[in-house]
Amino acid sequence: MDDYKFLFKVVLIGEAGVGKTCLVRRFCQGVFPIGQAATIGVDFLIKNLEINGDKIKLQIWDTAGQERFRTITQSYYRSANAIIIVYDVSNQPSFDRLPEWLRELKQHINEKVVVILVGNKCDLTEGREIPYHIGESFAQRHNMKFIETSAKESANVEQIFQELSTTLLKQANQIFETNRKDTKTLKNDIQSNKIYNCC
Amino acid sequence: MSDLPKDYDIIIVGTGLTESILAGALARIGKSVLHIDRNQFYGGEFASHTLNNLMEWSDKIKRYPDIENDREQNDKSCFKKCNNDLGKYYTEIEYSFSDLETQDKLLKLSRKFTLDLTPNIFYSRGQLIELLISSDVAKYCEFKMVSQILTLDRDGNVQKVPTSRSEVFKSNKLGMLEKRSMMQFVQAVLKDDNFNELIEPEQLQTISFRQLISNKKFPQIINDYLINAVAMCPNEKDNALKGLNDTKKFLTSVGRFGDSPFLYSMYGAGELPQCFCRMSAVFGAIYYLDMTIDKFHINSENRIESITTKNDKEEFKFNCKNLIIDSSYAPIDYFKSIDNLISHCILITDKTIYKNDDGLDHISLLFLPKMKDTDIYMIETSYASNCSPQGYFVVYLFCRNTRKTSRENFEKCIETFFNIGELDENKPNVLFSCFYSHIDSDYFVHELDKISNRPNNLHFVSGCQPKLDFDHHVEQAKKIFNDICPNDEFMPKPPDPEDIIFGDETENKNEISKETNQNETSE
Repeated sequence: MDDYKFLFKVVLIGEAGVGKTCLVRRFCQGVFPIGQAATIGVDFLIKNLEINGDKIKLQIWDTAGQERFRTITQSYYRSANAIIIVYDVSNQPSFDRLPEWLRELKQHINEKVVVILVGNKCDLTEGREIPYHIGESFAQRHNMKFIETSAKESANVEQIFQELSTTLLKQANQIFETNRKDTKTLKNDIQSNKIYNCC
Repeated sequence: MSDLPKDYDIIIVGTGLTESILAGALARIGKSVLHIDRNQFYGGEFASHTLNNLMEWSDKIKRYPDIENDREQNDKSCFKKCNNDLGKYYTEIEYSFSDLETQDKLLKLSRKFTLDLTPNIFYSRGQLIELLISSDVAKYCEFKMVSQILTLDRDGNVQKVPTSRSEVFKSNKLGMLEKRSMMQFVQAVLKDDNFNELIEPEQLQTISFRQLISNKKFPQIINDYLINAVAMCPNEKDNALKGLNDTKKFLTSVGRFGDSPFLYSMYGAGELPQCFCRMSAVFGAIYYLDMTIDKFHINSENRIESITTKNDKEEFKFNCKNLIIDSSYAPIDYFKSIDNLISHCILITDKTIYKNDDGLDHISLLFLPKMKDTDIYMIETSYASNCSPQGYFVVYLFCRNTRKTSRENFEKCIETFFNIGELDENKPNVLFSCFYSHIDSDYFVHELDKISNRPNNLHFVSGCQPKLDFDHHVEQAKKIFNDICPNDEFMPKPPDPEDIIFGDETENKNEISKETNQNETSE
């Protein structure tokens, strides 16, 4: 089960209703949840992948609804290896808020973190408000990769995570060795019985 | 805003530590929770700031009496107007840089500093760490060991106190005999809860810890270690039982995660409330910052039935069954002037107070008993906790206020450790300093709870105390939780995200239609 070389934390952001949860559910579980119910009690989903023979594990974090009133906690971004910014191609305001999301990101992450821009709901050809090339050039301007997806029709969803994982894997040794060397994760309570013994 | 529901089981005002633990615990068992804060940031009194934000924060508080002066009288008891003047809560705020050049340099690095308004460190076996583990909130945070426990010896030199068995044996400050007697004492403390080998039961509460230790006729250096660095109980009023319990807590914490008994939160203590808020949000709580409670409405049964909140654009009304508020928002006519103050000092320096030979960045604790007439806690953090850029150190001092101004409490201490006046190149220079005091809100909440016509579904929460660890806040959260939900478990471990199995599509549909129905009715 825990047979993997690297674990990456991937974090989703973007306006409410752009389909962040649907993307993750589609990718990790192959389902497209119908309706708008917020997922209660779920922090992140896990997906195991194999890239060029290396087994990796993605921990994909959702916003827990805290994007609604812009109250995402800083710790949500801590130790993230990659960020996926999502907007809805059929919803201009969700695209217009991107600069604000980028500003927020700049405060919390360093330049090593991989950022990818995703225009979701590309199946809605009639309702489309953001043409492909507008999204693409925005991404280029801000040095991000760009993909259009449809969680509903499962188009390109795999590709986001394949793309991310390949880049992350390349960086992996560097990030892991410099950043996470001796921080204490409280889960690993291995030495719990070793107390201050006498001579 | 129209999608914000109107009715809640519990509304929580303030995102300090106790409030955030409560938000997590209540949302976890399925209560509907609205959690708001007057600031744009999380944490209230527990927030961590960048250098720029810390300056902004102090400037804003200094301005408070001018901008918020609507002392509307509550003639009828149908509503109570809440306090939003932080100038009533904080006093004596000041900050300064050593010189203009330094100011420019530091401000360019502003974002790399994480400055805690309520700094603290945590016993590895303290209640906060136990709660983080048992509730799985630990997955949102990371910790570093407080790698140096320091003490000031009789000659005024800073010394590192050995904490683990191997450090005791390696120490070149202790002779063989001293090592043996220290280890014997340690063994006796750990042996049982009544400390039978060390003291007669009837003496536990009647003699002081200091007296107990001096009765043991240890060498002076061991006395100092035990009283000032391990138990940190130097005063006559600290009885033997308290001292021995604190010693035990220290000793049992050693070895859990490393040689030191203490942990420090990466990116500062301000992370902790946020971690509990994240957990609360995952379980459905709604968060709204930059919104404050204006007044609350009391019905004929002396219960709060609704509150009015506002931000700079709108006013809202929400209904609630219980209201939990941080005491700094207490109604204006409940506010009294409180003499008990807690003072803080934040310093940015260019050197560490104790240079270790290993060349690494450390996090250090130094307890200073009876500095003038108060006990001061000093925590020095560094790049090791991502709280400062490399080459800079952040020093926190806090104590019970006994002087006229915040600064006066710390003057002697600052002169002892830092370069003030005459130049000593071994001492660190102070590049930036900030001083402030605030009401001892524990005392304040005690006063508030005595108010006879206080609505019975109103719960006041207090802020920080001048002591180590946040046990106090965990206890307070548990108590309020039990008042509201006496039959529910406090923060059970949530299912592991890897173990969650989602129902099939049909089940999902049912759940969803239920949810949408609820949404419709609430609108």
